[in-house]
Amino acid sequence: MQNTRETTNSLLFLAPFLILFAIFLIFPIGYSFYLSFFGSPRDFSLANLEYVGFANYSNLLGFSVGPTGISLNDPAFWWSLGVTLLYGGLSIPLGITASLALALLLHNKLAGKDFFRSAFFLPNVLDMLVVGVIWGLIYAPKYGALAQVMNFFLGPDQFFNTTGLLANPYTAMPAVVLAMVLKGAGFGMILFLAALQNIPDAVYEAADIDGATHWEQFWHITLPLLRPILFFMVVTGIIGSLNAFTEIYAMTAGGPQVVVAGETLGSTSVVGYYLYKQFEAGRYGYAAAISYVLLALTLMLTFLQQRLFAGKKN
Amino acid sequence: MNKNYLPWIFGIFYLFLLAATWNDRVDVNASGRTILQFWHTYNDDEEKLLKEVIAEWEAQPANSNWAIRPIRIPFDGHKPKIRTALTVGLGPDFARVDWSFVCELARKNACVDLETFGFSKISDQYLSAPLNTNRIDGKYYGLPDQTTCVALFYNKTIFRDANLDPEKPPKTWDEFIETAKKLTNSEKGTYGFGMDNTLWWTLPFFNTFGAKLISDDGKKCLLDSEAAVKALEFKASLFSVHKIEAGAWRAGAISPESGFVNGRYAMIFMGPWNLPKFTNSKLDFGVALIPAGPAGSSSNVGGTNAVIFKSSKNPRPCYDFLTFFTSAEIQARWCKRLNQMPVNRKSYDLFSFDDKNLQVFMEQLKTSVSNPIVTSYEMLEDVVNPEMEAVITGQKTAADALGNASRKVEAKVLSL
Repeated sequence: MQNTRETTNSLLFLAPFLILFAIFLIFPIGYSFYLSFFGSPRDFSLANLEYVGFANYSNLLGFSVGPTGISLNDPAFWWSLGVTLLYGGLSIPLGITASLALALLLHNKLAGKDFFRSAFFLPNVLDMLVVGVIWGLIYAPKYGALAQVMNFFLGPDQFFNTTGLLANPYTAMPAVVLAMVLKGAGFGMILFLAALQNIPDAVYEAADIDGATHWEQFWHITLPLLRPILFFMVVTGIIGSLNAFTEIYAMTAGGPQVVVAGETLGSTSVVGYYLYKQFEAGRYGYAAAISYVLLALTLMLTFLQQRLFAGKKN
Repeated sequence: MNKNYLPWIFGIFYLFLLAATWNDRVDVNASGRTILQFWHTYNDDEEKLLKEVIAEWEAQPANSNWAIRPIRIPFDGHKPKIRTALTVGLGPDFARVDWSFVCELARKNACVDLETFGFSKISDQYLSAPLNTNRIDGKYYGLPDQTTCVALFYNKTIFRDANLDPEKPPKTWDEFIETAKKLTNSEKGTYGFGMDNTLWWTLPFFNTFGAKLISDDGKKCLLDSEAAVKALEFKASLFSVHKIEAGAWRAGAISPESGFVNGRYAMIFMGPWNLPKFTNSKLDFGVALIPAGPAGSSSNVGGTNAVIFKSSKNPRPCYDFLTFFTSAEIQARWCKRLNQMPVNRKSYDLFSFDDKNLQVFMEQLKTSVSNPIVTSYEMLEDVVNPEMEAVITGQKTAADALGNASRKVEAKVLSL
């Protein structure tokens, strides 16, 4: 009796959150899965959607084999997955390296280290859109800060002043990655710092006595003990790359365009941005299907990561 | 003990408040008039005048049953806002929308065919270019309330500095290139021309070359026509061959508007909405017709239309108000006060424009060609813009790019 009463009371206290959670998270998650089996609406009501079964999924993932070879049903989707892979491939290792480097630099008795820790963390507090817009202005040709600095060294007739990093298909993605790594490094730094501070000094002292160099200490003591944080950073990095949208929206809008095998494709059109464009065009069912393919991908990658890191531990 | 009663007291108080303020006739105002909701995107000055016009209309004895409630929504994002409102059944009775939105609203069965009210009797009082943006599959689903197009703005100071006559802007594309070459000084960072690269801003090029983009029946994309290819080749050559365009279309570059204000770009395409801003910035500028191509001078059409939604219980008074609002007298007053171009032909006889620049736009509007009408104009831009960029950056030929764009438009846009 007491137990039932306690459960009821706890549920009552939890109710405000649970109700909001159900309405704004659980329901949309379920409803978007339902939507992924329907075509685009022919009018503005969502009541008259045409049931299309798995057509959205087959249009997205399918391919046909013709006389000229394999042709994908939606090459732009596969391209955007490739762009996302590039984004993750560049931003995750660079982000981890930058965070770890900052943490190692500030894990000492340096005067003013608290100031530096706060300063490096600060960009994290800012909104992604704001950071994106600011970096867009830094990279801008002619009037941007980078163009001005380069003008001083190289004169006006150089790439940063005439074209700008964000307007060239080969430099746009690295430029976005650099901005995002610098924004996110402070957060990783805090995580690494916390983990570094948890490593007992006695371990390093023992290693010193055994004659290990600093490099060996880092490689055999620090890094293995930081593995949980590394795992966390890789997993959140992958999820972050698959969800990337705001930075692209703010800085490049998916461009500049690059022509690959006759197809004109956006050189920074990551899958999150591609999804948004489908949604914006009113293709709700198709956009929902993309989001579920992404969910499956995220789960698969996280599972693989877990196995990989767990394997190393044993 | 007392504390236990507190929630009850609050509960009863709120119930009382609810009962006292409950009104199940939210569509009727305090004086018993039925409310008609009008969503618009006017600015402060326009809204003030709109309210005056509404008061005049409501004061007429025939309209004593109605009260128009104007609700301002931001122009940026007005489409998704209206889409969402219509989806959940909470849309207004009528609204002012961008010209490109009427087709989607009509084809998705959301707005009323104006012939229901006998629109054909008065339709020829409107200028044809803005009126035609309302003509979807042979019927009118809206009426124009404001119209714009773009023309050539040029900086007279830069003209003088280059020893050019500031009263003689280029009249043809050949003259345009000659003039722009004299105005370009890439070392100083000044260019003869700064351009955008979206389809709407490229329409003046297509139209001066006589290229039609979509067939009359709306089923075929004509972007791969010879005229369209030549127009795009010409546009791209301004940047890549003649080097008179600044690259203003690139991500992060100085936009044509800012470049013009800052004296970086000597000539740009721009609409009349920036006339007050440029005048206030003490810029010495002039406005000229878009240079003539093989098909003469021509431009695009912009502006807004008013539509009445099918969900409205009282479409007739909405229509009556809109015809009153766009009548010759009201339009004349509106445009004189706000320095805009009337959509009603008869208004032009009622007053004269002092603003010489605006007169150029009137002249330009006469040769403007109606825009491509498709269900999803955004998607048309999404498909065509990247292909045009590939041409300007030299990655594709105009014929390849437009052939590709044409196929995609037919598959993705015209099939909607």
